[in-house]
Amino acid sequence: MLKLSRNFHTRSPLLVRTRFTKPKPKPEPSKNPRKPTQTSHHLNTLKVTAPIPPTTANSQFITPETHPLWQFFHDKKFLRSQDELDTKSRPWSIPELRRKSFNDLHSLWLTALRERNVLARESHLLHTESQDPTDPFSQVAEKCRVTMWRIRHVLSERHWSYVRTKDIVDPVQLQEEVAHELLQCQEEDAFYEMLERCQWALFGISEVVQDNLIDAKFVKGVKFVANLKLQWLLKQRDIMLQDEENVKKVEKILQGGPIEDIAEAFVVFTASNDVNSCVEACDAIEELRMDSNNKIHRYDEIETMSKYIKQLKKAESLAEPILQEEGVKSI
Amino acid sequence: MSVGRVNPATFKFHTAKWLEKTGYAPHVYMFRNLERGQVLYSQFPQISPVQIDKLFKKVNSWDYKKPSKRRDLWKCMCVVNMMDYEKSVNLFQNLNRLRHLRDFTFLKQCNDMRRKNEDGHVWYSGMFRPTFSQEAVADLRESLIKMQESPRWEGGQGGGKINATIHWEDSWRMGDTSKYWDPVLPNVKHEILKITGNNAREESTILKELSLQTLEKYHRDSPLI
Repeated sequence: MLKLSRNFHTRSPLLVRTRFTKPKPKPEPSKNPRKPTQTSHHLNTLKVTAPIPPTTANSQFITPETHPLWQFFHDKKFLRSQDELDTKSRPWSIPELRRKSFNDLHSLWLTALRERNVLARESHLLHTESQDPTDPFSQVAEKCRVTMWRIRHVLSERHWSYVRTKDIVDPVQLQEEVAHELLQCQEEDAFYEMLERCQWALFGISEVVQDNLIDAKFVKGVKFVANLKLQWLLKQRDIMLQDEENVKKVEKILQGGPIEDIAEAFVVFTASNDVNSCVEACDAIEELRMDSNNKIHRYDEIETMSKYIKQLKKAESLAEPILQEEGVKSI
Repeated sequence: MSVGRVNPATFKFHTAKWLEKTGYAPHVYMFRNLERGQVLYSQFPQISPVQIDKLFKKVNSWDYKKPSKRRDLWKCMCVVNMMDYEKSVNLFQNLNRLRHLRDFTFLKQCNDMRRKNEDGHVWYSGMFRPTFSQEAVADLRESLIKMQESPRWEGGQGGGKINATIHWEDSWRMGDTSKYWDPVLPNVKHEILKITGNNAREESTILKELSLQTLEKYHRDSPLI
């Protein structure tokens, strides 16, 4: 149809009147409306209450004895009184510390360190509580500190003396001197104690045979200790080897000079520190000497010893559970 | 500030049905801010910045600051095991409501009950105010007492007893049990989370393990669900 009136494009939409048109009817309510997802609601009876302070009164929860922080308390006390504090003590002197072994110094160091921790805590508490300039805790702590630097000083002395003498002293000469000194000893217990210290100092051989590293030094040490044991028994024959037969047995072993075979030396080395065991070891050496095949060539010494120690370790690891079971049964 | 990866489920409130379907335990977690001492309630064993924005609505002032969103500053204070999803959700709502009451409706009354220092301010040390966590403990107690009295729950009208287990971070924070808990909430058990070692590292694992234990017990007690 032909359009008689012409308008601009923007005008025609404006001409559409919406103001007086009939509004749309509301949609009908759904027959299957969605339920609200949140049905719960807070209670309306809630009231603001006073804060609950924390407490240590809960008896069912006591700090266990093994709690590591107890180490910072002396006898589980919050703060020691001045009477309980050892104010008349003095730090260890350097000459006193020089007489102590490394293990003693180590334990002393730890004790001092722990005490310093306790004292530092107490000193800090005292400082925050009162502004009193006299602090007995830090005075005692200072004594601990002095002990600690003196321990370090003594250890340092030992280290430097070792470093300086290491190159000067001839090891063979040293061994001879030590052996000479040991043979002068007349008491049995003192001798064996010195022997143990000497085997550790000269050859680094531990008392527990399995812990040692098997090398040329170990082999040398075993021979040295075995010979020394028998030589000392012979020297003290009147006191130790009262029986004439025992004297002969030991003399026979050392007849051709000191023991050179590692198997023989090891038998004496592992024998207990008493006369009977040493004499039994001499008997065992006699048996070994009966057969010339038992002799170990010096090139095979380390290998043979390593094998033997390995077997010993294996046997022990097998024996351990059995021993434990027996222990349980006996209990 | 980057806050790392967060669980998107924590961004909004979740119903009991959703929690059960998704495999969360019927727990309510309370996290404590190490810096300021404020406490955040969560339905999940994690916290998110969205939760912090939602719960701490009060305007910053001299003695109140919105807590940090750093995750390492939030530590689990306690886990409330309700053994029922509806109850756990209700407890969570109650706690949030009480927070609103404390921050807005009964602000003055709440402030009167707080311990003050010699200057008359709420006691503080640096940024830390211990009253916030003490109030959270009081709110937890109040919520459980009111739930016990409510007719909505089984055996209501004061005759019923709410069965819940609260796993506390330590025995110290819960207050005196013989004074605050045992006389009014006899069926609420208190346990201490066994934490040995690096708590900051192990916390998520501990909470997960706790959830697994609760779920196992929950499914054992109600196998048909």
